[in-house]
Amino acid sequence: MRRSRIFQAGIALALLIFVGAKAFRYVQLRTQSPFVMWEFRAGGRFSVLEKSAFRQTRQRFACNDVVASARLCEMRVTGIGGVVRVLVNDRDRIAAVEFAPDSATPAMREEARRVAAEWGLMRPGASSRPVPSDTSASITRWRSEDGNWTAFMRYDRLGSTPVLVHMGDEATLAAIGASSPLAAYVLALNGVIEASDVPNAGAVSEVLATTMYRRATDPANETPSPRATTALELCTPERSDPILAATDRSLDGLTESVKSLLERAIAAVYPGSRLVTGDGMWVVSPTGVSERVSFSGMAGVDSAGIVTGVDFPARTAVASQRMDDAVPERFCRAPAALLFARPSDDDSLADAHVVDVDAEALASDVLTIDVVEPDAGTPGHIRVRYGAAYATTGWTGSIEWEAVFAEDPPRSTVRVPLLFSQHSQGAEEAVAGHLIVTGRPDGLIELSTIEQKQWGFSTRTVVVPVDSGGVLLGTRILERLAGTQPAR
Amino acid sequence: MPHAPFSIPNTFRRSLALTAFALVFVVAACEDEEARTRKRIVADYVREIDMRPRTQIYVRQVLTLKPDGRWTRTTTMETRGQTEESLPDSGTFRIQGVTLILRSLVEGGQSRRFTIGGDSLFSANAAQVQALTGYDIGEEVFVRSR
Repeated sequence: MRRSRIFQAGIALALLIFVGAKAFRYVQLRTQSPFVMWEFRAGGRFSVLEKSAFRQTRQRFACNDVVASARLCEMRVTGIGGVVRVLVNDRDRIAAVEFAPDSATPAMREEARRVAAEWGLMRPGASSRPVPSDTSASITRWRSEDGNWTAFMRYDRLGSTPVLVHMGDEATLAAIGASSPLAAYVLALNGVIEASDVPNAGAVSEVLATTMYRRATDPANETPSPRATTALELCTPERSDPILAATDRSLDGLTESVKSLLERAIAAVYPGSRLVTGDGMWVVSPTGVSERVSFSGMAGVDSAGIVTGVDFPARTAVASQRMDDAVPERFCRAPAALLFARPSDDDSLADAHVVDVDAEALASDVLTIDVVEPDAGTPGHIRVRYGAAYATTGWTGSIEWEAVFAEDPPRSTVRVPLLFSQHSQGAEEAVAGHLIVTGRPDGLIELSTIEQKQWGFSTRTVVVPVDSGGVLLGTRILERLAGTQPAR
Repeated sequence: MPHAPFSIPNTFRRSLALTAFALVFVVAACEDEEARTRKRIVADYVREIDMRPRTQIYVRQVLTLKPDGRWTRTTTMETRGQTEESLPDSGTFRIQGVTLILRSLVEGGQSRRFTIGGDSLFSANAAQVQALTGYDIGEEVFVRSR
């Protein structure tokens, strides 16, 4: 009798375990995508996939931060050769997993047919062309009934073997996309979501276009330019630059009238100095020290005057060397300047001004100059793109700005950061990317980056305080970026 | 009532019976699944190779899947206006998930596999052939015609 009860209890326990296991499995399946290919399934735990992959391949995924809350992990696989990419959130959940085969092998073609047929049993796939006019590519999509899980296969022109198989967890992808201002955009750049799923795609693309196509930046992103010059002495070259004799092709493209205007302007803005031309140009100081000078981004017309960037390469070399030495006490400044020169009717010099492009930077160089003629309601001004270098003991870096030069005498009034580059001490490579103003909380500027790496794109967001005059300093931006975990 | 020391207790007998019942149920469910798929895919499937007008060749194959698990295949070839019927092939088929496996009772040899994708049957033998010969024989697609 007693034995019978033990058996009964045993059976009840076994049943309980069985039902419990089934219930657990049911709940687990509810949190994982029904769209499975081999071991790849969105919604699962990445650590489990990683262990299994390591058991089979003896390799580990290479993971990189895409945003603070997600990383993109990649592994090359053999068998059906190709690349597996997994987007994992900060709770080890697979938000998306995709496989890009190396080539259209029969094995891949048949596996894809089988997988598509299995997915088709759950929900019929819908085929379309990503770009309706483009007949060279097509895509078949599946979506679970509740909309939480998606999958697609993208085909090239031949259309029988997918070039990409993608499985996604929509809720987790949406959460990652909303985790920072440019997260969704960067997910799209990495091909993990589609551009049509990025809420601010148009606005971000517009900002990037201003950088790439030299369009004027949005006034909403402007902050006042710094006015007070950094209290550092100017860099002095160690030796005089020898003046080289002119050749047939020296100063090609420089008219006699411009050359003459430059000579008179240099003498005016650097009193006692003179401009000497040869195979290049030199400014010779009152003490006879010659220093090579370069004029960049020259704009304007002869009669109305010119504006040009002025840069002394030897000074910049000294500034760069001291930044690399990372001893702040020895830092010096080598600012690029804008030279404004206007001739009078009798061809003499009417006026000339020289203005540092950046009062804060340790070194700078003028990249482009665009003269904007006055228009209805908009006074004439000059848009200058320049690179500005900054450094501390822990890093060196640069920011490309677009600044507006206006007023009389001309000065930098407002500016917008466009690009950055930063090399932290001990790091093998510099990190670089676009800077986009994504918010302007009181007394602060929120900046987000888009950084292109060998493996794809990443973004970081920093909030940078402005000074009492509302000035956003380059040093502060780079300090904040250095303080965030750089995406590897 | 006392029972023999090594006899199976009644409770355990009951659970064994339950397990056996469950096993039968699972097997039956699988069979039901195959029967359902068979019912769904029974039809004529057509594959056409039309190389006209570049060459005067047109081939039409019709694969017929029957409810009793048998299949037939006919091939009609037109060359320069002449129509020629190849010897028909036939056999039995079974279904594993989304895979249709045809065994020929005429030609013998290895079974031929197809993936059932909606209204189409995609041949699934190329990977195996490539592993043996190094060549990709391509993909045959039969599309449901009725």
